[in-house]
Amino acid sequence: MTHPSRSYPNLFSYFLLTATFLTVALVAFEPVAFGQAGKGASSDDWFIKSAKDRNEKLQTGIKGGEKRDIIPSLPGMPIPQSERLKPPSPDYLLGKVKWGSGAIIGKELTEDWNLAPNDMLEFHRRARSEGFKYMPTQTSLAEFSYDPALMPAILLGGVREVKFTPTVINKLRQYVLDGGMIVCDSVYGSPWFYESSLKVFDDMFPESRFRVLPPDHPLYHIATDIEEVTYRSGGEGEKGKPFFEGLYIGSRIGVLVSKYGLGCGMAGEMKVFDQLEKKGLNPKAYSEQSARQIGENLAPYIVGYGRVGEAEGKAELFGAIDQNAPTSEFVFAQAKHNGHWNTHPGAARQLLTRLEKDSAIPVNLRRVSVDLERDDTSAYPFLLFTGLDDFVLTPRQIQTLRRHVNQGGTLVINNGLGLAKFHQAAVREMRRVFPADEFRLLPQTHEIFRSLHTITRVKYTPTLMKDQGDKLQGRPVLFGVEVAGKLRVIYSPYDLEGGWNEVRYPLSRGYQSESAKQLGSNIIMYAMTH
Amino acid sequence: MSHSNLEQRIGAWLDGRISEAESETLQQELRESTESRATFNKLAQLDAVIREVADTESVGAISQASGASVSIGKPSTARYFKTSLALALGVIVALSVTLYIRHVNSNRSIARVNGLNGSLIWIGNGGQIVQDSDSPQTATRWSNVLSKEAELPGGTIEGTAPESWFELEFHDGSTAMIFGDSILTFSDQGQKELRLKQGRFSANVVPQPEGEPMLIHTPAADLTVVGTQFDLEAGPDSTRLYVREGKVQIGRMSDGKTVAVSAGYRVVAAPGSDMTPQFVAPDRTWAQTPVWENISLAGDSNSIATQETRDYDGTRNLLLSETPTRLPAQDTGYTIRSGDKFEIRYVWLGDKWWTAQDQLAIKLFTTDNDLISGTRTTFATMLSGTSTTPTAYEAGAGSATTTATEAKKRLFIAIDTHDGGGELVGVAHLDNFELQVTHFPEPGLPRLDDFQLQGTPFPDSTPLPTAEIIIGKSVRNGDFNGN
Repeated sequence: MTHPSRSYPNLFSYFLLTATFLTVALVAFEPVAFGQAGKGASSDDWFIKSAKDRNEKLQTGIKGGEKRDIIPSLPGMPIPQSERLKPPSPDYLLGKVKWGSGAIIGKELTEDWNLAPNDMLEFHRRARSEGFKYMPTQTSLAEFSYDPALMPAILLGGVREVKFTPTVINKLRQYVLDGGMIVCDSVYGSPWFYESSLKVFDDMFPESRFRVLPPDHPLYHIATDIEEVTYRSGGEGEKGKPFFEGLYIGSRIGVLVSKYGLGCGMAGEMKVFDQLEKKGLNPKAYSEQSARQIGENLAPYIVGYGRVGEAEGKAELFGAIDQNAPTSEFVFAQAKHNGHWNTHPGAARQLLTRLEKDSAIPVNLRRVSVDLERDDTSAYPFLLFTGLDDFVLTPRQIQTLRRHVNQGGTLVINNGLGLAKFHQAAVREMRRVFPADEFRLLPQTHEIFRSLHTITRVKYTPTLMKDQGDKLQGRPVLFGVEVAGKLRVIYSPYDLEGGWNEVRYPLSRGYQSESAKQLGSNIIMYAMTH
Repeated sequence: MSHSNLEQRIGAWLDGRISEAESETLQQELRESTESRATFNKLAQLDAVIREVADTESVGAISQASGASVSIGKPSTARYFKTSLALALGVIVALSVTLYIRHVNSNRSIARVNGLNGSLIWIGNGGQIVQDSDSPQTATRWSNVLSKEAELPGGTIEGTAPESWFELEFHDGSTAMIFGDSILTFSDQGQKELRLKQGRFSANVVPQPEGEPMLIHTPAADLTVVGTQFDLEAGPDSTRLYVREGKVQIGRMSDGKTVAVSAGYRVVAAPGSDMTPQFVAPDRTWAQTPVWENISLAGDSNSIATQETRDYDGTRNLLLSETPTRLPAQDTGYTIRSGDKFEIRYVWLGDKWWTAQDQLAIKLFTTDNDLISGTRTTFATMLSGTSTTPTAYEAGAGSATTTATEAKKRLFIAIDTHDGGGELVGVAHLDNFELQVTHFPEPGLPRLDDFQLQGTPFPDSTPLPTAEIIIGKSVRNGDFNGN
């Protein structure tokens, strides 16, 4: 028989051991148990519905037999009378996509895609007040048409990790390439949704990558100038500036991701953020006022650049000669760099078609992309370098560009959309490539303005005309550097390439189509003959 | 000032009754007047004879001992005569022995001159003044001129010019050096005792006998040295010590606070200083010094490039030398444009063996292959000018403009020395180097740099050219502190 007094120390020892073990385990796995500061232990912690569905319906505002004109004139993009003869636009602008799963929480159906149930209601209400007579709608991934002509953009909102099946991934990719736009709203600023959406779409578009939109991006100016914003939560590091990341397809945003919640602000339902904060989470969201301002710009951007997407998304058609390896005909080479280099798909073909018609030069319509890091440019006397945003050249790329010019090649640099970010990068990087040379404005008497077409005056895009037209007075603005007495490097600070395409780019600062094509043809002709 | 007044002041000096200010005035007068020096010599020799005869206390080399007098007894009565005679005889014998021992001791050499340069004054035990070889000489018991290899007893050595330096070696192998305007008194009566009244001093002391460390006195501190290498800089109110090897104990005069300073540390003893030894980072080699390289043909990448000792602002500085073993240079990475104006700024200090005529020479050059190893063409040399404040860092600056000849070539810069004294051994230090360029474009068509994408595309008045920093602070390791 064991003496009772002996069992007490043993019990106490077991208690101590257990307590120690639990403490060590808790300390070791503390981030897992309680979540990293404000992120939550899992994305489920964020799964709260912000408000009840209002179930309101907007009036279509279109009476029977009335001609449908649901798109107002966009800033920097006046719609001529001929435009009204075009087929009617779709009924829908931004469809809300049903994704993820649902659960009954407190008698309320809570679903990933519908945490801010009234966001699109308010978005469309405001869009309608600006003249965009679209209807809010929802669609499941299974039922979605994946046709930009029927639905120019879709909204993907939520807080939990975004996941798609391979079939859906392929369909969404094709939808964006065809001209569609995906808007991802991390409705409460959940890092789970934000980070997973960046990853999903990065993987979906390996040829492109997300870039922070520059302050002069059309999204921030197309209806209202958004220079400053306010944040309901988070945003301390943004210094009052809006923060969006976009994945460019051509010159438009194919996928837009908002790290800061938009939907609740648009709907004016912000109480949910108090609940989230009480749970120890760190939500991130724009204020109501800023969310609505952004929404006001989003509608015209989708409309305007939807058309761009339609044009740039068309498959480029080539003839049999274009499929052959280039021999004696002119080849349009375009430089790849670490910025967004493929700015205006289809533009080169449009220009070359025109050049073929206007001159006797044999032209290969297929554009060749040249990797400055590893390709030899000596086979291409003409090299276009274009972009939309910041880029940095590697030492090897600098050497390639120098060699190209020193061997008699011509380098043409174009500021796609005429944005300040690319301009600053171009000035900076070209200084690295040609440190001892100065880019000087080409005089209007320069031979390049007579090499094919005689160009005395040019027409600018509406935005450029409005901002600087009176000062530019119709003169073409090209800067150049001479090497061994010959013009070998040309820089256009205003977009040439956009004008080559038969589409208008809202808020683009460049040349209208005819002027752009004449300038482009002259540049190629000059390069071929000098 | 009258002759008798001069004699009175020399007498006061010999008796140790003179103030520091009066001593300064007297020394200045002795430097300037041959007549005064002759008077000094006469009185000093007379004083020595009187002291010897009177069996006074020894005349220390460090401090003038106070005089003492011999008490002369009154005539005694006849009954004590024999006793007195015997006593007198004993005294004479003792006096003779003492005088003999003193004679032997006072003739003892305690150190040898290892090297010297510039204007120097040495005052020996007997008060003899010896000047450098450029000055009128007065014969001494020790040597006719103060020259290399000369044997010296204790005394005072004074450097009177920026380029002056003097190195002596004690018989135990310990060496001591002064630089520039410095005054050092030294003696070795079995224990080395030195007084650095002012200036810069460097010593390499072999281990001293047990209980007899080397003692160094400065106006602001007392130091005890057992065996080590160190540098000292003494001013009227502060003493700065840097220990290279071993350990040195330093005590502040104002409050007696004492600290032991180890190798690699420095301390400043001054009223109000915290006396906390500060660690001085190890010297860096060329291989460890980013961007800068030694392009001297005889250069060694493992030799010292930068160091914290002799610092300007508590950080590293670039070590320069007139010897052909070092030529610091940099490939700036900048391509020259016609119309470029280059401006340089730096601080520098002439150190050991730097003569009053020596200068720094900042050279801008290009090479035949745009590599720093290529054949050099120097297109601008900017001299620092000679030193105006030899014991402290001073500012240097210069500018150069380019022409079409240099355009499109890569810019290299070298920090060289320009010898003026004929001895290629001078050492100098340079810190906080800055090189900037301002481009002044040629007139003509509007430049892309002046174009504005938004607003007025071609402003009527273009902004003034702005300077662009090529080297400076942490840019291309201009402050030499880069990692």
